[in-house]
Amino acid sequence: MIHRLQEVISLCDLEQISLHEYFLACEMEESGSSEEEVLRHMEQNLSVMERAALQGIEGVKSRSGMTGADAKLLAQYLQSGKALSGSIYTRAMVYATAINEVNAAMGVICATPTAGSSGTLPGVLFAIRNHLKMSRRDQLNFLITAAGCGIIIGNQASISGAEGGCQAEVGSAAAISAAATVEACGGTPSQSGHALAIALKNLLGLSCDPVAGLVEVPCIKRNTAGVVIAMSSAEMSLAGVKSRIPVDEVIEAMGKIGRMMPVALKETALGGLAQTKTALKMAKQLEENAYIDLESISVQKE
Amino acid sequence: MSVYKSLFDIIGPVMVGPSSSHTAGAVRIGLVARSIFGNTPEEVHIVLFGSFAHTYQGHGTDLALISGLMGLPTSSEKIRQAYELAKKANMKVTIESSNDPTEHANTADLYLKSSDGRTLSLRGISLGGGTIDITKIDGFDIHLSGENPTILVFHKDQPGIITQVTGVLAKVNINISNMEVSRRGKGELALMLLATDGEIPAQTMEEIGKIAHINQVIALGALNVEPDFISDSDTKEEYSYDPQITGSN
Repeated sequence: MIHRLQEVISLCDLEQISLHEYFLACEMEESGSSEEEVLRHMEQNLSVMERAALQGIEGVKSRSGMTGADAKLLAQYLQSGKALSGSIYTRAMVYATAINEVNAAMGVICATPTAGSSGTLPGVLFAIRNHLKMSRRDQLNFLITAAGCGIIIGNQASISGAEGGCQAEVGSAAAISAAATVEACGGTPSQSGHALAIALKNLLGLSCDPVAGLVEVPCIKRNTAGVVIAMSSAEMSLAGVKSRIPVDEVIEAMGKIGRMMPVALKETALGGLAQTKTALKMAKQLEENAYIDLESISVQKE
Repeated sequence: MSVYKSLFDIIGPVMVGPSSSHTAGAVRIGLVARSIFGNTPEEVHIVLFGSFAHTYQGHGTDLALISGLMGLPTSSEKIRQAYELAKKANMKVTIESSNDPTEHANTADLYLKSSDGRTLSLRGISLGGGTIDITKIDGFDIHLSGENPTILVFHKDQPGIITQVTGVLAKVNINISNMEVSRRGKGELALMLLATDGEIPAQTMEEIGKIAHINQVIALGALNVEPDFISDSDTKEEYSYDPQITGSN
């Protein structure tokens, strides 16, 4: 496995292969699995994502009472035909929210790359797959390209909120989604690299400051916003816009920012949103009653 | 220094949410406890420390530990109904939060009891990403990750026992990847942990159980095998991590 994405891109250009072909070959060599075995495993993970999306659209509620059913609201908004951002973008927001709400509600999800950022990548895929008439195999290729880029980000920087903040989780999720989207749209490996760089740049510095230490607020809405960053970055790159900073330098910068970030902003709930007045009220209520009554919190505010 | 090697380190694992450390890791601690105990205990007392104590309700850490104790895999949809399932399985559960300081933020102590008086106590910590470390079994200080097949041998602290056990393994060509021994005192009860590269055949377990001064031998399978796919079948999930136990007294 090559360490730097630019080297992978150069190799793909030289061999005239796509990113997913390269990453699939790496996986087969590393694991000793056949192509069929890798695809079957990926297919299982894809169907878990589909099931989670359907479950979330029906409306779920988390055990803490803090989150749930926003995907349903977004789906109704989409159906109303009033969405400014168009049906593909809004659809991606619906799916991303749905899946991450299912995660918060202890449903079964596939980490992409983590549980806390499990909505963004499938959100993008499910929104574009019909529009682009992607076959099942195309969808698996999308996941393979995303996963391969994720390996490179994880090894050069981080994909853990405790280590690098949310930029390492939702930031990485949006970045790998952007790269895979470019490939699905017929872009070159180099354009995938630029899309990844642009998406990650837009989320650099994002802290991990979850209310009451739970993977709910603001995690779910960041998954939702993550799809928009991913898709807009892919479109910039497809239009020919280039990242002025080379992709591997952006990834390295993310890792460095993560190391510089205070511990209070890395999944400890000791800073940021987690320490706001309302968040502290919620945390106290959770500690006392094992449940957060959102209505009582908003009444207390006024 | 590549931490991530496989595509499935990024797209995966399949698990119940919301947190790999507070949920998936907790299921695995419960699974290891169940495997060592041998079956579903009649009574369980769980003590939670640190971040586990503060956030267990929101993360479902309690549900996860109980589910593991009943043999459910980390991807089971049924984890949410753990209390109802425990009731059905006649497993009495009590939960306690402790403010006592521990070395690691995500720590749980489990006390298992069966109706015939058998007990097991165990401390598990969740290191993140679903990785765990069992640091105490019945008061013995050890380290058990569950990642490799492992043999637990409870024996009297006596010269020559280790050689005899490793001799049996050598005979069937099983390689030991890690080994640890902890004892109550000189000549008293000891616990030997042998992590191996392959699963241990039942016959080999029996042979080890026959060695003099060995009280009990337990074989634990590797935990890191992801279930092939989420199964709705009760029985398949229920027994997927069951151990083989042999022993002589």
